[in-house]
Amino acid sequence: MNSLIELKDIHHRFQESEWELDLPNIQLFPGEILGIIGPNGSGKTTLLRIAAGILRPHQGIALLCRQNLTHMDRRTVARHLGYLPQELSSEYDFSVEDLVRMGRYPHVSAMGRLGPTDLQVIQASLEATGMEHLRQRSLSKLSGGEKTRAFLASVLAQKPELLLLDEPTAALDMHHQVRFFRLLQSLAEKEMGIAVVTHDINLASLFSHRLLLLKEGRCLALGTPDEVLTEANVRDIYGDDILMQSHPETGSPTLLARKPEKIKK
Amino acid sequence: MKGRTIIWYVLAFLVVALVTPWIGPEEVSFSNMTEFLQEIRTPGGEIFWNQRLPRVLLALLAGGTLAVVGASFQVLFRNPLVEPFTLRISGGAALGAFLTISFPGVWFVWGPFGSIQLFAVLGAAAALFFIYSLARKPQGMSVTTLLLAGVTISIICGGAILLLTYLANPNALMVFQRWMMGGLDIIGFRELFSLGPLLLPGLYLLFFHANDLNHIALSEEIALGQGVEVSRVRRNIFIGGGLATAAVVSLVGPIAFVGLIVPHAVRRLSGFDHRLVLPAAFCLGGTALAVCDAFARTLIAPTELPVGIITAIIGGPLFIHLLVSRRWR
Repeated sequence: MNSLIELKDIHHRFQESEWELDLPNIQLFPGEILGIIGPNGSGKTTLLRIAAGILRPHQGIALLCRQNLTHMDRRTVARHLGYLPQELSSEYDFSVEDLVRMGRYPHVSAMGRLGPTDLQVIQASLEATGMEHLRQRSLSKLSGGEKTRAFLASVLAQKPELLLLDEPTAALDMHHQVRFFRLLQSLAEKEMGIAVVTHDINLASLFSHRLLLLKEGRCLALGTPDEVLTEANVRDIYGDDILMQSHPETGSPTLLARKPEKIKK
Repeated sequence: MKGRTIIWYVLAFLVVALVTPWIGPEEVSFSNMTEFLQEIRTPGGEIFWNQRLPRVLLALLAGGTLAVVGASFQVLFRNPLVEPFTLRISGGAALGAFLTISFPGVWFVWGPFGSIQLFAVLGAAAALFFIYSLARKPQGMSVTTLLLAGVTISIICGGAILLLTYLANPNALMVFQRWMMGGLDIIGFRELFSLGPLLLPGLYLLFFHANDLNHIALSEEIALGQGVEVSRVRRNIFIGGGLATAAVVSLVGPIAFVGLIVPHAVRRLSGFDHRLVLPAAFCLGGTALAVCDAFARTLIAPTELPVGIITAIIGGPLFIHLLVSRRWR
């Protein structure tokens, strides 16, 4: 199977910083959800920005649909790849529909005039994310979950083959987190490749086909949730205060906090 | 993005364009105007065709340009309090103008350009170039550096102007002070045409990126994901806005507040779609400046006020209102 995105021996460091990102070969396939997990500062966002072609790595190659990302213009990239950064807010209070319309940018002329096909895609994106009834609502009047879905509808309007999402569920309650991952699951069933950065290990374990575990800019493990979330890895990352369990329905690895020890006097 | 209401802006623009040439200390009759076209020269016809009309056109063009640059820069710098002169390239223009005024040896006319205007353009362009090369970085432009570089350039120019003020003779000082107040009193159409070489490419760049501005207004990171070449758009808007401002400031001097207030008024009335906001801001900015100038001509007739005083007196309180109410979005 052809990978949608392939990162080859990526190495990156920031100016005036000791921190380095060093990655092995990483691929994302159609129909796959790849959960990217790891503590803060492990390089998840940097990895995603490199894969989106926004950050140019110092060494290594990023291939998007077998083409070198650094040689592609942003418009072409945006036709293949939808990217949602962590910060989903706007200084100007656009409406949901405006936002979704703007997702058509890579497909339309410089002045952004939309044709009938574009309007169909916009309609379909609004429906797929369940945002149709809120299309006239302005962004500032949306709840956290609605806002995330509005931005997802906007990247879906790009008609991408893969999605790169940076902590899309960070601000959501559990109900909306699950709903959002269900939505991603339904997109993956339609052959979309999805890489999602998240701090919610349990959801990632439940919904991802593969997990990528990062620590201090290095790949600690890459594989199925069972292969990645081993006792050793979990202890390495999160210390001894975490208890490993199996999900009662699926058997996927699930993490729990240990009961706090009694304070010794 | 509310309904397409550009028609009202165009209408206001046209009404002001048709009405304000008749307003002024001297009476101009309709027959004076038409007689002039039949080669019958009357003072009224002369005033209408060679003073009022070019002046009104300049007001419409200058006010419109400043408002379009302001609207674009407010998005570019992610700051609602930015206007064309925030970049301080007017400091370079002022220095160029003052140099010419203080050293009358360089007075000349080259094509459509007067020497003051030409040196003001050169000064503005030099300031623009310095600010740009200081702020340019491999990853794109740094907005903070851009603004700091502008302030620095402005301080340097201010110092040079103070030095010239100290050395210059009183006559030159008078002329310079008058230039600094801003004025639209031109005679004939020659100076209007001299705006062209900088103004047209500048405005073209801004209008060309109207749709990109919407995406940048949303968020630069998201715009990158949507396929916008953000760094190229930013560079073009910076250069386009700089060129247009340089053209205007070199002819009419620094006219405050039009470029700040008008874009906010338009966004309040018509939403954030810059494909609508930019042309609407052009129409409303031109309208506002032409009306202010009509007041400037008549308030203390038979003498007239520099229009910069009017815009500052009207714009200042509006600006404070904006600052305090914090409802600019």
